[in-house]
Amino acid sequence: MTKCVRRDFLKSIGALGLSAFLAACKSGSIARTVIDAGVPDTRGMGSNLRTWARYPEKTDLMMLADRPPLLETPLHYFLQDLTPNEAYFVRWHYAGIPTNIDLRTFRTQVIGAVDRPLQLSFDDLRTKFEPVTMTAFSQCSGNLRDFFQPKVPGAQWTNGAMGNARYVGARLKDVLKAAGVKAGAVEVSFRGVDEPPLQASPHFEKPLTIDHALNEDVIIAYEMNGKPLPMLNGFPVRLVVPGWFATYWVKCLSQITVRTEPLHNFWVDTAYRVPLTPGYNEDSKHPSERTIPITRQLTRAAFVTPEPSVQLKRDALVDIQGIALDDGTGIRRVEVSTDRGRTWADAALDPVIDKYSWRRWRMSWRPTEARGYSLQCRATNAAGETQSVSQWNHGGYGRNVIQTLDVEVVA
Amino acid sequence: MQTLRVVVVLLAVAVAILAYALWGRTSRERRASMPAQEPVIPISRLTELRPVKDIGLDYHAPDLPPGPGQDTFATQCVICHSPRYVLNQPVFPRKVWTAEVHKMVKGYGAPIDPAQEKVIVNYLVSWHGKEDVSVHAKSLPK
Repeated sequence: MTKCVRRDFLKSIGALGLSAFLAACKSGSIARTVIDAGVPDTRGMGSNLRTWARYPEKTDLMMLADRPPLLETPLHYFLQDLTPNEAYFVRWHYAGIPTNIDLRTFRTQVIGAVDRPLQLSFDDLRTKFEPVTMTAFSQCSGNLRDFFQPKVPGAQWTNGAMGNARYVGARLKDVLKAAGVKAGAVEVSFRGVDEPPLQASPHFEKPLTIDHALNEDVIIAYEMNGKPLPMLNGFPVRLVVPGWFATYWVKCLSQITVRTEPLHNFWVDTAYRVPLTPGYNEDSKHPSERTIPITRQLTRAAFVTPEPSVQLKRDALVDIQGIALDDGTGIRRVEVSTDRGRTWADAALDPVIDKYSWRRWRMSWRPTEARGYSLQCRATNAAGETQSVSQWNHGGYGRNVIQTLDVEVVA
Repeated sequence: MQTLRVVVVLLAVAVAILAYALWGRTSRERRASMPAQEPVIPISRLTELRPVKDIGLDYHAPDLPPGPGQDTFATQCVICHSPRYVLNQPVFPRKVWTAEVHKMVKGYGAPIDPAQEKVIVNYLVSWHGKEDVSVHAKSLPK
């Protein structure tokens, strides 16, 4: 790599694609598994490096980063009600992620303010507790971050840091009961096998309140879509906190600590915090002084078809389809606009899959003119929570503004 | 009449034997293809589960443009993450890169001293950033 100055770099991204840039740099470090470097940049920013990559137990996904891996699911997988394990998005915080797990020695320990500390094997979790089956939606707190204006630092996810899967697992409540939670417990916190790179780096650990941890719905999942979890999605067991953002769904769950004092660490006090305002919204020039940890999913609808790149035919019927999600309260209504939000019509809702699953919606549309159209979709849940037209926060978290999909109709 | 009755009876017996043989075979085959014994507690339908799971990860770290500070970046930042974490970011103004690099020190414990922080910020701004637009300069009449 000799002459890769910034102008060449930007030009090569814009004109020739990143493959040209990388080839021009004679990069020997791009492995064979990177199969195509030409993910179209639909927003014309030309600054984000995105390539396709295939990781172990995974299909071709959009790679945002390689160490630790950040892999995004392509939109078309969301045509299926359950996101296939090999296509499910991947996000880790530190490079020291588990790549080898031996079930004969792996244990999930329950420690802290308990009567009987436990060391649970994979088989203990499968056989000593009543299995619970649940279909649940999850997404990264930073899903859709790429769409915030002004731009926010962090993984520049578009719409694929999410998925819907069917889990089988043991209730956290049952595991905690087996350990015997002592009086005075206020929180339960969760760690995985992943290791911080340096002594000074804070171990990734997230807490739930004791009431939340003891409710019916939080499970320790050992099965995902009828199969063992992929390693990159938390094999052998991961916490499933339905209705809450994926930052709580701790992967390779190895340590459960019952606490009499709230946990304070970087991941609670600094990262993953949102303004204490409705819809996680704040002014970019005057960020909110008061922030809280991000918790539950906000209501939103998303288009799955048509895809932005597809050209539609005038007078031909278009199958508009998407998904809608919330914190488990339940999607009550999805509306679609084909005139940038001036008029709205109700979409048909598919049957509910499960309480915390996403819900599919559909609408048929026949465009009558050959021109560009701006489609929008908006969800409302049973609590009346709906979506707004603008939103910004400093972390780029919990985006749920009304989505606009620009499509081109030709004669 | 007698012959007809014998033929009918024989036919019925033959059909019965044939039906039994065919039905018995499919059922026997179905049984044979099933596992010898169901587990006592069919807790999970997990299949293909081996005690050890092991994956190898390839890194796809891109090379970064040369320039002052590239060495510092390569030794101090790449300890924890791939350079791709920078390439994935938008082109930020200097003040955003300054805050990001400082977050790595303060939040994640990166062993970067203040002098090195400046070097790294300059390097990032040189090829993936822009100088801050002063609000004052912007509001001046042209």
